[in-house]
Amino acid sequence: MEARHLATIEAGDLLLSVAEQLKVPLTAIARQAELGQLTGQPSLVDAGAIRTQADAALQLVESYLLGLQLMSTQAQLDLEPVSVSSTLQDAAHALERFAKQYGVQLELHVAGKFPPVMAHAGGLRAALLSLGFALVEAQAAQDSAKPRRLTLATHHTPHGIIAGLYGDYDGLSAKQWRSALKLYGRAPQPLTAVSAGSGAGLFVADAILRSMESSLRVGHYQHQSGLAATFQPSRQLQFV
Amino acid sequence: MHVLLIEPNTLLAATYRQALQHAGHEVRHVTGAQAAVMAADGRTPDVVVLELQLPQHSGLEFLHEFRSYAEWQHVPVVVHTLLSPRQLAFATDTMQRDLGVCAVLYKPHTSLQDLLRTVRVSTAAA
Amino acid sequence: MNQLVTEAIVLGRTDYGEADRILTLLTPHYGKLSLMAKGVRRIKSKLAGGIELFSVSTITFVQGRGSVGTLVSSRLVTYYGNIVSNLDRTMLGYELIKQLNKITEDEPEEAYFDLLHHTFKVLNEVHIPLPLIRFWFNVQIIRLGGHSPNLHTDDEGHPLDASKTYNFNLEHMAFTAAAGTGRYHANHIKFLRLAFDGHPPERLMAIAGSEQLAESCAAITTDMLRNF
Repeated sequence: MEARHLATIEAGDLLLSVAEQLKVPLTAIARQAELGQLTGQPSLVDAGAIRTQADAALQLVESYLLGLQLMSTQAQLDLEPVSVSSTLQDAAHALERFAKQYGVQLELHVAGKFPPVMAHAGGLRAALLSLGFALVEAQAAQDSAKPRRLTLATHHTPHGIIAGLYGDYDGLSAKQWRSALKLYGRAPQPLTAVSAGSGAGLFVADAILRSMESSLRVGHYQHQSGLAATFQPSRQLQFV
Repeated sequence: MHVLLIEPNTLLAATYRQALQHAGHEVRHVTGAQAAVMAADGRTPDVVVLELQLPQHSGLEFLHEFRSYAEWQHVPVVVHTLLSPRQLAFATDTMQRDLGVCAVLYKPHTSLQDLLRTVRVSTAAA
Repeated sequence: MNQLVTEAIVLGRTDYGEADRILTLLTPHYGKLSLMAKGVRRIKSKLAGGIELFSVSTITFVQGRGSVGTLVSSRLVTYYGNIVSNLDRTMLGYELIKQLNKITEDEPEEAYFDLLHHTFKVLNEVHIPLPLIRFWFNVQIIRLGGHSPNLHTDDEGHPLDASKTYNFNLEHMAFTAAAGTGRYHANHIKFLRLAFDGHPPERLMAIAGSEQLAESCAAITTDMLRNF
């Protein structure tokens, strides 16, 4: 009963965070539409930007709903062998247009052999996308002269396979991330080092990953910092 | 008018910039508080349009710093934010009384026309 | 010239001439300092520093012949970034800095620096309610000013009775037995005792109904501050 109560609170906080985040794409779409009317120049309206914002909003809603579903069916999760590097590659492709709109360059580092991991394929993809959209928007907003670059990388460690997204986020620390996990849904800006807004995508990604017995942690890769998850390779599949 | 637009979301900023430019204003856009101080140092704005939720800082920190410079004490500031009126309830008075904020606008409910009108009125009153 | 090193919290910054700034800082051992930061108006100077409001830095400075010394260097040590995650917390932090700036003299008073530093820490803990922080801060200001209400006997010298209700007599700085139903009862008085004994907000928060008690008792502390 208590676990269910806690899950309800968490779902409620996540919904509040998502609702706050949705203000951004919806405002962007509304103002873009108004721009054509205001100026009498429909050509000023950036249809590409409207599409990008709408797609990002829809992805966030879908990831949130999937996250809820996975959290509630955790015991009977449909796990299968998943290639983390392929899923990251797929996410990078899906993020391309969004990143371009925001002027953020994506770099993919997935070279090397990575054994498959047992995961919920759709959940993993949704988590990486959710994380990606949030970090692209955050990278574009950073108050820094550095070039806007987001690196999607997979690499081996003694603890497992790490898949993460890394950028230039001034002051991001493990302590701040732990604090943000308690603040989302209750503070408008739970992770100021990264996001100017609610950062909902980050917490939706974390919720999805925790349903798969992973979670997001602050990580570092080639002088960049970001958020990453660790996965254990499937020992069973090594014998297949 | 020279507008300093402090807006972390670059897509939203592009829309606001186009609307302001269409209304005849020059616009300098920055995404954060430190860059905003540097931009103002480069050229004093006629008006500042400020989102309170900024990366690494609060717009209040920017305002506090901005108002500590003699030449910027009377520059009109329009707060244009995603924070709702309920979230701003206790801060609005202090912002207007102590930090010289002339208007507080809730972004999702503020049309481009409303923003342009507020910028026009704020600079006329200054 | 002797260079001195200390922790410091910036209370404010103002212009001085074309190129310089005067920083007002609170320090543990040198009290409130006014230091000139030369050339920082050219923002690219290394002393331009950040614009963080809620931070503790380590500074190196040289005392001046007059009342204004010179800042040599500054390094940010801790920035309490959670405070800006929420506008109400940011506003309260800003108001408490302003309040402290107004009431501090130039005498070295380590306690004021400690108070402000502790205030940043509790504001940074977003689970501690704001009315409690504001109440606790006001109580500390009153205590540091050498004042304290009588929380053990009423204004006629009788021990306070847990079964009675009281009103507060500002002139006598003591509770007065209410003719009918008073504004304050035993829980308020116990809460005030804990606060005036110097217990931190983390401890006060453990008391049931602490946020409401803080809000109810705020009138007492606000009236005291207004009078001293």
